[in-house]
Amino acid sequence: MPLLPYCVFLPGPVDLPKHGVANDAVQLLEAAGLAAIYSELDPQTVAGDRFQRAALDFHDVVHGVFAERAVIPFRFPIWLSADELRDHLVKESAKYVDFLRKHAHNVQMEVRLWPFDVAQKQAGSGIEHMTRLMEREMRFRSAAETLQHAVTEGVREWRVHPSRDLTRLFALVQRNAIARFRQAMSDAIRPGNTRFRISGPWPATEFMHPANESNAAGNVVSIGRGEKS
Amino acid sequence: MEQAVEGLNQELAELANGAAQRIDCTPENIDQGLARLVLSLIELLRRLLERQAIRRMEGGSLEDAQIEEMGLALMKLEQKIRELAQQFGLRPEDLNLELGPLGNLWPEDKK
Repeated sequence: MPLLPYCVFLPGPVDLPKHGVANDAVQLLEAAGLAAIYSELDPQTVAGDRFQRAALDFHDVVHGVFAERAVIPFRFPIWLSADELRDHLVKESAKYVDFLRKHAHNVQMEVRLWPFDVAQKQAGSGIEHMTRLMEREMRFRSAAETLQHAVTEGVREWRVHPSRDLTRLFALVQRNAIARFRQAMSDAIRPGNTRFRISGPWPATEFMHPANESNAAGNVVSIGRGEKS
Repeated sequence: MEQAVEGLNQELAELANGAAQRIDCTPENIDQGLARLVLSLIELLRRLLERQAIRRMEGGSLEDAQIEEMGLALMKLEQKIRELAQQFGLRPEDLNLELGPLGNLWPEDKK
């Protein structure tokens, strides 16, 4: 039976969730200075109509551990054999241990920033279209900078991922500063013509890679069967 | 507190919805499945071209005539992708394919 891994963390006393996806037992594997939890499941258990429920159960298990300590979540769903999971921990041990120690007391908060939807007529020319896009991007950039300067309370680092319709800002925040961060965000002057929404705390995996490397997978570590070597 | 709970619920719903985004090619909906795949790739290219065009505009390396030409092409391409997607019963967000362990084709736009 394949394993559905939930997350990786540093070994130590932790209250493991008793039940995971599809009410299956959550089991622990330790290797190379790391601990990983998983359930042994038939992949059909999370197929079709059960997929969404399973995704939420998965999220609950990861956050159960994350409430107590730093974790590196796996993307849902990844299926591995016990040997593959063990090999992965051995292979990534140095990187994961370093990350989990460095961010033992940190979490990431996410701020999604987007413009007020102002109905605009279709651009009348190519230049107008491009100018609108450029101005929109500049407004986003400026709003993101305003927020970063306004909110420094408990923030160790910011990362910004801009796109055309939404800019995502990630703040690396100490666990004991989450409330102060939220307060500082709600006190911050709202950048003009934009709205934002805060979510978190999440595992600080956006900060696992150097700032110039994007993490396409977002808040999770992605491994697959093809990545064994 | 209510805001935090609402935010968490929204995140959970997004997590579940996002995870379910896959190409679904069955004999009954093969047209839609293929259209989704092709339009997704075209939309990805359009986004890349758009970003590149903005960079070049900011860098001042484009003549007005080039900006006009590029702007019109991008605008029409965007319109055409939307029209075609609609014809196949696809929403704009359906084109952002979920690539399993790699994440989505482009950063999600969900607010």
